[in-house]
Formats: sequence, structure tokens, C-alpha cells
Amino acid sequence: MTTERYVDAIRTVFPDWDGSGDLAATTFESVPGWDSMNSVNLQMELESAFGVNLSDRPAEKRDTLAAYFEYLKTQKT
Amino acid sequence: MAWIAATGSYLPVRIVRNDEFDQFPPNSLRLIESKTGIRERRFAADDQLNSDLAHEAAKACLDQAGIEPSDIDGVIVATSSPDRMQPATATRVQHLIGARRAWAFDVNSVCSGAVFALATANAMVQSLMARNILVVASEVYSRITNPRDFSTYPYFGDGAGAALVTSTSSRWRVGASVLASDGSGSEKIQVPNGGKFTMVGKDVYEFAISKGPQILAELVRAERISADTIAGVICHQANVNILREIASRSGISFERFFVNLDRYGNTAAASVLIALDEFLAEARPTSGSRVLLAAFGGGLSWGGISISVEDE
Repeated sequence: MTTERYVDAIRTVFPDWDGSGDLAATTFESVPGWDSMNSVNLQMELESAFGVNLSDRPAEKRDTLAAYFEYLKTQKT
Repeated sequence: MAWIAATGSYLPVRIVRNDEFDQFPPNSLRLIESKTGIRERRFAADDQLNSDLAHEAAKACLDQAGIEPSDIDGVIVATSSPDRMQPATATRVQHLIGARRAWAFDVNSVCSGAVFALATANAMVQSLMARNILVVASEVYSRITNPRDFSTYPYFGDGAGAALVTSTSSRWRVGASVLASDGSGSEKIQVPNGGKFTMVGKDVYEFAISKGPQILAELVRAERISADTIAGVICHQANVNILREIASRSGISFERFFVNLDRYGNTAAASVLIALDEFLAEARPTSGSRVLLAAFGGGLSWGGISISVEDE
């Protein structure tokens, strides 16, 4: 589960985001094309990319990309 | 002058509830109703074409009008999910209803399509080009949205609505109309070649809550009416939160906004005519009142029509 793969998964759903910048300082809200409905698409993409089932949707409880990645790493594959 | 002599609608039999979308995470399904107000929608049967839905709505309208297909001069179908790229879906509808004298063509202004088609029919009747024009708005968005895209697929449903625009005086007179487009936003709502429907959710929301009140204000100004004469507002049924915001910004009570998107979802161009058909049957607005139609959608496009309720 690498940061690069995580960024690629986000860019699959949000192609207008260039993937650059500090993930700890990047909120989901700031990602171009972000909205609550698209957050579900990201959840599905991450579940598929990493073989996990996620109970928390992106941005539901963790606002930054880095914080959600930390949560993602704790989920069992 | 021109009048609406009758209306009709058709919703496919198959009901699809939010909890039936098992391709999406179970913890996401409650978002559909909370974000949009939609609880269920209708999907066309596998063997139903868009024109089949349109045919059913047209039949219902013509039955209400009590006229023969041979009395129809023109058929205009508003759709952005046609049977095929060509010919126009309206030509098959013309054939199915047996309107052998009628010319037929499609109007594609996405979710604003019915308003654009009604305005076109109104102008044609008023110019004495035709006496009876059947306007049908019909959509099968279940076929053009990606079943795995949570940001679009749950929003939409299939259905058709119809209205007969006529030079014969009737109860509902077509009044002022406003149409507008902004092609700079053409990528906000689209079906790219070979692809499925996409929209930029946040931008579309802001667009809708901006243009909705503007349309209503222009109609009120053009008709020189006061808000208390408005019996009902038939807005494009996209999202109940959009409707509430439009009501708030326009100063028209939300109680006057007709809502059926909870049962049918967003039926794109069809939504206004389906809603109009149901509203006129249920509310029976009284003489002297107005019914305002307002729609906004891909193009970007937006428009509205005022209908005056007159004595029969």
C-alpha cells in the first residue's frame, strides 16, 4: 500500500487533480471535482485498488488526504 | 394565442429503490435521499425504447384531448437520450401514434428540453404554421449513465410526459416564455462521444440555484403578476435541495413547488411535463391563476414558460 498507488487511485476518480502537494495539507474539499457523491466513487476505487472494505467514507471523519491514508493502512485486506 | 389542450405522462412499471443499488457501498445509500430527496425511480424495460415511453405519454395526452392523430400537424420530442443518433426519435413516435400528416423532429436541450420544445410549439402555433402540435419529452437515462458512478446513476430515472399545444382555446393558455443558453459551460453536463453521462456536481448545483430564481423572476415580470397569483411552480425535478433553495431565493413559498422527484428521480427533459401532468390533475388550479414552468440543464441551458389558467 504505497502513497503513489493511493494518489493514483484518487486521480482515477478526480483526473483534474495533479497529485502534487503535501497530502497532510490537502483536504478532500480542495480536490477539483470533489463532492459528497463523488466521495463514494473514491471509496469504491480505494476498496478495489487495495482490496479492503471501508466503513468510513473519504472526508467523512478525516479531512486531509494524509489522514485518510493512515486510516486506509489500518484496514485489513 | 396558443393553449395547452391536454397533458399526459408515462412512467415505466419497474420501480428501483435506493436500497437496490447493491453495486454501491451499503453505508453510502442513505446519501441518495439525504442529498437529493430521491427514494426511488423507474427504469424502462429492456425491450422498451425511448420512443415507446413517448408513445405511451402521447396516447394518454391525446386521449385526454379527445382528438384524432390525423388532427396533429407536428410532433416535437424533447430528449437527450434518443433511440438512436438518427433519425429523430420523434419520427418513430409520429409513426406509432398514427399522425400521418404530421412533421416530426427532436429538440435536445438536455433537462431544459421540454421548455424549449413547448416554446417552439407555442411560436409555431401563434404564427399560424400549425393548429395542433404534440410535444413529448421522453428520457431513458438509465441507459446513458454509468451504473458504477455514484455521482450520477442514482440521480436519474426514466419516463415521458406530453402536452398538446393548440390554437383552439382551452383552459390553459401559454403565456410568456424565456429561453437562454451559455455554451461556455458545455462541459459541465455532457455525454462525451462513446462515453456515459457526466456532470460537475458542485458547478451544476450553483448554476441551478442561480438560474431557477432568475427564470421565475423574468416570468413574473413579463406577465406582470404578483406572487399570490401563482398556483404552482413546476421546476425541473433535479434535486429537492435545489428546489428549496430556488423557493427561498425567489420568495415563492416552497409549498407551491410541485415535487415528485422522490418517486421518479431526475427524468431530465421529461421531468417538467410529467410534473405538469400530475400537478394539473391533482391541484386543479383555478381560473385567473398562473402555473410557472422552469427548467435548467446541459448546454448550459435554462428557460421557463408561464401558463394562465382560464375559464373553460
